[in-house]
Amino acid sequence: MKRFLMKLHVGFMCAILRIFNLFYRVRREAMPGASKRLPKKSGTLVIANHTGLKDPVLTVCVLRSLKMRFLVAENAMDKKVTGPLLRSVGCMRIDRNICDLQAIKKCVKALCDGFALTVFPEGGIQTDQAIGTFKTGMILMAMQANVPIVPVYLAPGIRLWHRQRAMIGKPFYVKDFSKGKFATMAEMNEMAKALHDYEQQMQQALEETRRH
Amino acid sequence: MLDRLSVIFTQVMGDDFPVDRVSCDSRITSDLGLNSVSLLYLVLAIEEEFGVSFSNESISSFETVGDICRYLEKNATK
Repeated sequence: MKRFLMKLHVGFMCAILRIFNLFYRVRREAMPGASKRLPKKSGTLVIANHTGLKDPVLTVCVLRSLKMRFLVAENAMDKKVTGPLLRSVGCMRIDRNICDLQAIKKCVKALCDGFALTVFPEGGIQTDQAIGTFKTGMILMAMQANVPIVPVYLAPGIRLWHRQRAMIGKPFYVKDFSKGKFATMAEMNEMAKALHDYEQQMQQALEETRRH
Repeated sequence: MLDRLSVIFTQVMGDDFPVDRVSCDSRITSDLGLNSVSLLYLVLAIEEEFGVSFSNESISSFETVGDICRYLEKNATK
């Protein structure tokens, strides 16, 4: 039964991917040292800037992976219509108003099971083109699951039927920022800042490719 | 138990963390300066060290280090 449900889930995601690719026709670029393919044998924590409701779908179109999960805030997941719909495509709920340990554990389990979990570390939709400050919870998840963090930059303000552009970044590893076996909070904050700065570089690099 | 918790605080917050400020009356956020992510990290480390499981409700009820100690006295397996 579990295998059947998994096949159904994969088929559903495949159909969504093909339909949305017709609308957005994503053009992907990769930063130096980055790969357009996610690791197959391990989970990955994908982080992306968040400028609109279509970003989770765009992330699937960019990474072309069906084994994906998304972390979605409680205000979207608790709605009567969108909640079940989001859960059916692999979204997991997190309550931003409390220390949601159970959500963190579910995310770590998904990563350990080999899924690519997409989170939006700014914590919400940004209305301007500037990249907001990154929260450090994502690094805690990546450290617990021992998986790389792959940044993705989605060009904002692209309308339907216009070609969506995206930049895929190189993977970051928590162990590169920690002196000991586990990173301290200060080291995690440093890594969050490094990821934020790299996301800004990706934004500039994508602008450069658009000009040329 | 407080000694073991102090080691965990150092693991989470770093060697610069003033461990002598950790006492049963220390308030987790205002006295020790932990935010939500550092509290989650602390709780995960405590779960591994003491063989205990926390629910979201129990975490939101912790205000002082003493609250954590009392919880561990009832539920710890290691």
